[in-house]
Amino acid sequence: MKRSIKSRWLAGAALLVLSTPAVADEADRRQALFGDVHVHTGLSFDSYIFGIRRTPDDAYRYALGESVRHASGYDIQLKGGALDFYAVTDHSEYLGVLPAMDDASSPMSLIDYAKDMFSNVRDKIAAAFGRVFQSITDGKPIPEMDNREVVRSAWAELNGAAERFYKPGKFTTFTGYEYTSQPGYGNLHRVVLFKGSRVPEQPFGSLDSVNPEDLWTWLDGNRAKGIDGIAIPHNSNVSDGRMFQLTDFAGKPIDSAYAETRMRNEPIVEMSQVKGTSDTHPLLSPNDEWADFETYDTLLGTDIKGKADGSYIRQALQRGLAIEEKTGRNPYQFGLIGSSDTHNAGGPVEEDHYFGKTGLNDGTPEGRRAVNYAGEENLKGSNATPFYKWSAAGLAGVWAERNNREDIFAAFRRKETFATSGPRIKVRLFAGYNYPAAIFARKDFAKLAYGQGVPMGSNLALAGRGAPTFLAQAIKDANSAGLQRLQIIKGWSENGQLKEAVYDIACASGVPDNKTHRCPAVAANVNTKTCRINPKLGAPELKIAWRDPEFDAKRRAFYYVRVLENPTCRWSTYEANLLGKPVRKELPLTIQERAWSSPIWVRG
Amino acid sequence: MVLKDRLRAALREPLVHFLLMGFALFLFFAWRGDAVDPESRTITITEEQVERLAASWAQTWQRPPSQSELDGLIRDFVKEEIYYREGLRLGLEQDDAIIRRRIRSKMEFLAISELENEVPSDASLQALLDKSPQTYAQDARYSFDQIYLGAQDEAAALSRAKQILESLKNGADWQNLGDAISLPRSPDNVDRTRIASDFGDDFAAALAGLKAGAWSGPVASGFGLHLVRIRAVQTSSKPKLADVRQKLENDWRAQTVKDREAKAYQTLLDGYTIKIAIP
Repeated sequence: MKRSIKSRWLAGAALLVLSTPAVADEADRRQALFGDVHVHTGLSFDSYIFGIRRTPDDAYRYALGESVRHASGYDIQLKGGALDFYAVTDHSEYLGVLPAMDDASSPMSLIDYAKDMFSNVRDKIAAAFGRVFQSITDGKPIPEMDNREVVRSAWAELNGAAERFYKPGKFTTFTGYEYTSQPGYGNLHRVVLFKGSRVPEQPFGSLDSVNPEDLWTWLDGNRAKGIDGIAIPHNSNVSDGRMFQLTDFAGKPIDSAYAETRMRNEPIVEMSQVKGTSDTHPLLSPNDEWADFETYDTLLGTDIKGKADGSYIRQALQRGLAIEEKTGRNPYQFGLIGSSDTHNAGGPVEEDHYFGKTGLNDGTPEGRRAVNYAGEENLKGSNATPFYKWSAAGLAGVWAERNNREDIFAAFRRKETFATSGPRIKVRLFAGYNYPAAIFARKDFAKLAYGQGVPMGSNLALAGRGAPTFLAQAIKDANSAGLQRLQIIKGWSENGQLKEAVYDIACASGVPDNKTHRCPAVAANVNTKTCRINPKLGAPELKIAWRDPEFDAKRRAFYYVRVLENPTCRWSTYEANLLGKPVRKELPLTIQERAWSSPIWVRG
Repeated sequence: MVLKDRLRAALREPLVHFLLMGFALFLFFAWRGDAVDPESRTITITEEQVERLAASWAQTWQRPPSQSELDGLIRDFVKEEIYYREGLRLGLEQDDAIIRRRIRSKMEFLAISELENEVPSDASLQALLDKSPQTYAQDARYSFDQIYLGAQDEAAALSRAKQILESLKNGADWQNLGDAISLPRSPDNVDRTRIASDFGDDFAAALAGLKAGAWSGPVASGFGLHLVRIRAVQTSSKPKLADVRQKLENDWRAQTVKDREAKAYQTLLDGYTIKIAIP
């Protein structure tokens, strides 16, 4: 008896050793992993209305490189091979309810308007979508459709699929969902991810509360029960200024308690996805020549243009510093990821392989309208959505020890993450002191970089040591265009005034000018008729140790890397070429794919 | 036996009673002028149906219906039934695309509705595995060393490759040769998919043609040119059931859905004669 207790204790101890999180000296073995943690299937009300019947299993198969069928009747497949991690995150509101209404054996099919929800006629799709969308916007459930029993069973299906496909070391899945709050059409959506296989009994959605602060309370409560989860804001670009306000939801100025709660629950935000990029807007960053990148500001389900102020990440990072000056706490000190937000179970991340995001709506050239179509001026409401402005994007990157839930989730919490607009560009940023001169060529690069500094996502305390050295590095996607320039974006607040600066720090050819901080002008490398690129232009890798030439030790500031690829054809150009028609006037012919690191915050 | 007796005996036969009754009914309906089955004019609501109506109400509203609500449900059900029958009588279902599509999808669903809870046997998974082992084989895995020659100028890289190969012959340490790039210099036991993602599709494809043990190349990657020395190759071997069980089960489910749908349809199709006039 005694002996068996002892051996059990020993087995327990062995298990403990095995499951202990990565120790500090493993940091230098961190590798870049790519994933998509924002994916919808037919369980989402809108997907189902848009004709999508794919399941969570289909979604994970897509992530593993297999082909799945698009609602418009063709097969879709990831070009770059399997992703490392993936999360199916269907809308929690009316989760699984639409499939139930379409199932004759379910009592929900008896709802009198059930059959009006399942059409392949554009106007009927729009009407069905509008009915449910309005209820979500108002946060008022449609009683006969708000069937939580159905929601719980669909939630169990999501969790089951995530468990089935999780292969530690090879492929990581997370159980999650989308919290769909959008008061007054201002998008406050969040992707919610749980760390482990234990998840709450049912998701907390906007029909429970449209106030994200209530979501945080719920997440805090679950964490106290040992269920760790995070919320990831997305599409701040269409939040109508509400995602990154100076006040809380009720309109009171943000205080330190709010900041703490928000940061505990929202360590990262989504920078890039199909419905636009949330880095910045030309109105907010007039001196950033690359600010107007896949910007999209039409509020969801409407034809209303949203406000820029409060809607973009760079400004939020600046506001965070301004709020911190006043309250001592930064509510917007987050890391960055990208994801697709596909509703087709699989994301369109490649320009030459774009298939839209919302099933029958934009699954065909007529739906996407990359070229002009007769009669399109008569489209109204959600039918008028300019799908041609949507983007082939994006991916989430993390630096993690191993490909498993513990290590990837820890990277989210640490904010050692990066975002890309689709290509698998790897980007990395450190800040520290006393780095040796040829550090990038050294085999112990990572050990030194971590040992004498901090990785992206961290605070660097100056401690009177003066300007730190930044180690910035980006390596191209092996199957995409070369890199054009590596940049540092710096932001700070001067007595409440928000400031920013963009520095080119490394160039494919030549060096940045001392005064303008810009790389020499480069020749066009892409033929927009054939979409062929010159692979010789552009660098396979850009890396440099850099110091801020305008460093001010008294000021708090954030620094993040943006790396630009050489221009390539935008998906709409590929499509117009195939159709043999000109691209519609308001669209650029080329796109400069890019990646962004999480910031490092430097403080005196 | 006289005719009268025979008739009397015949009238006692149940079969004759039945035929006479039938004749009387025929006369009655011939007189009434209606050829439709009289059953279709009778609607009987059973206790089970009432219970089902109440249950579906309770599921939606989370409470049982009151008596007046239940009466309303029954009235509505009767109304729907009447409209449904009348609609069928008028042939309204014939040209309605939505009804046709929904009936089709329900028929398809019937064919596969049991599948969800079914667990495939080991034998059927093994059969699937034996049918196409290459689909389930682990990728080939490579261990190799690579020297990066740069990207900018192909001619320069080629002459550089010659030089480096020459100095390798003279015993130079390969680790000090070539350009620096953040790619692993000596990947160990890495599968082909990973190599394609890290070095590019072309590079991964080229590895299969290289001889192990010697430096070869230049080989083009997504980053430029490389010299490559394969240290070890683990070619794809026949996988074990336990290692690929999940993938097999996924594929079994997907395939079985397709097969059952096809089979159910074929059975129905066999009962039809299809004539198509092509204009």
